Amino acid sequence: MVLLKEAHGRSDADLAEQCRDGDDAAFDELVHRHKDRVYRVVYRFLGNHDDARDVAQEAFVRAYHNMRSYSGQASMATWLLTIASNLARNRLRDQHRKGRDKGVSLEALAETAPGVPPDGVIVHDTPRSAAEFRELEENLEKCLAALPDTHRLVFALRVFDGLCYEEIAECADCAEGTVKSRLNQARRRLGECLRARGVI
Amino acid sequence: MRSCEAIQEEFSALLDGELPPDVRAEIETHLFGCAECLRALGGMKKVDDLYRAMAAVSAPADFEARLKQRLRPAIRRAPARKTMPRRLWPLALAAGLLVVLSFFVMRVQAPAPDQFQLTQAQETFEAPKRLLTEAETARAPAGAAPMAPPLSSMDQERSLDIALPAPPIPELADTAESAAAPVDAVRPRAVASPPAPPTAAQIAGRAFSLVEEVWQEQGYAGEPVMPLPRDSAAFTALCDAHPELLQMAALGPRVVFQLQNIWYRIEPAADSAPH
Repeated sequence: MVLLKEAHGRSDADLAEQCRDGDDAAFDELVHRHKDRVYRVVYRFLGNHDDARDVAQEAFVRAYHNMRSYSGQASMATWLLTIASNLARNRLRDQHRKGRDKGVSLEALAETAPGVPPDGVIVHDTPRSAAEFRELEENLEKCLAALPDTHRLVFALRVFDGLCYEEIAECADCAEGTVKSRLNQARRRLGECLRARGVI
Repeated sequence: MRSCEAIQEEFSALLDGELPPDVRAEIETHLFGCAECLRALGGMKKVDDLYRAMAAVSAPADFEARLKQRLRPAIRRAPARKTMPRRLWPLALAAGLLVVLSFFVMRVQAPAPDQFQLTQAQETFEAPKRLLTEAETARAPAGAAPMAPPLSSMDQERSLDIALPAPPIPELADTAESAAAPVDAVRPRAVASPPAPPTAAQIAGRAFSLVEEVWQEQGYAGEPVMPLPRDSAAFTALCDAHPELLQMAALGPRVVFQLQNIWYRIEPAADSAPH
């Protein structure tokens, strides 16, 4: 605990350097700082909590073992999100190959009793009734799940994490121009989908 | 003057604040006079607002605890890294090189195998000086007996067994004999161990190193890899296009390499891969 407290206030680059010297408390602090944003993006991309947990954990395991390769040129968050994005894309590709569709998990999520969020989800305090809120969330999730993987990834990185186009390009391993066009298409398709469902 | 369609292509970047000032000004000017584009932009913004207002998601409460559990074996090894500060690495490297050099010097100066085995046994066991019995001498191969030093009865047996030209294969040895004495106990390994297998290689100007039984191209930092089984059509196609892959594949059963920004891992054929 004492070590963790000491780690507060240090930059990610300092913590990475300390990790390289074998300081595990520094790595704990990095996990503490970045776990939520990594998890959030992966969850929105994959659409279910089990896979999101596996992938986010694996991302940190990889980061731990490869801390020496972190050059500090990109931010720690971008580096972690790049690892997580790659793992998440691989996970989806494997699932597609095995014939397991991510929609199944989303449907399972939709069956969750209203007002009882799955592990890791915090429901906003909202004047809407729980059922209305749940229905809206389901529609948003289903439309998001209907996007091509490549489009959903850039959308998740932009909207749920706020990365700039340059950072998204690094995470998604594509050009900035591609990020721009994928985001535009993603937003258009989401609009069409939500209109078809009567949400907007 | 751009069309409405071309203008709408920029809406996403406009919302994200990623447009250069001149393009932004052009879009805004267009929007003043185009209700259709204005409506389209409003629709897009509504989509963004809805998704940004979705329920917040955070990592499960036990995320860090689970991660620690997964990392425990690696963390246990961490103190070993701490005991070797990086400033001592050159010293460790020099010591390692010295050991390797000594090994090669010893090999160059080493006597013939039979002679080496016997003198090694003599130096190692420091046996009391006694003459070999005739029966034991008879067991020694021709030419070995005169060179054999006087040893204790146990050491004599060990030494002589070392010199025997063809020790029985344990599984096929006489069962009574092998049951009475473990093979290793009566036949010590007096021969120097073989040189360590290589852990680094250069192929077509690319550096590879062996990490946990996987050959990895320099620069690999644990990124996800595309599996490439040796019996796959993809592997064959890539080898046709890049013949140097065959050399890489010869490094070992698993080889990680990069091609056009994608990391691949050559793996054993699907049939032979252990599960």
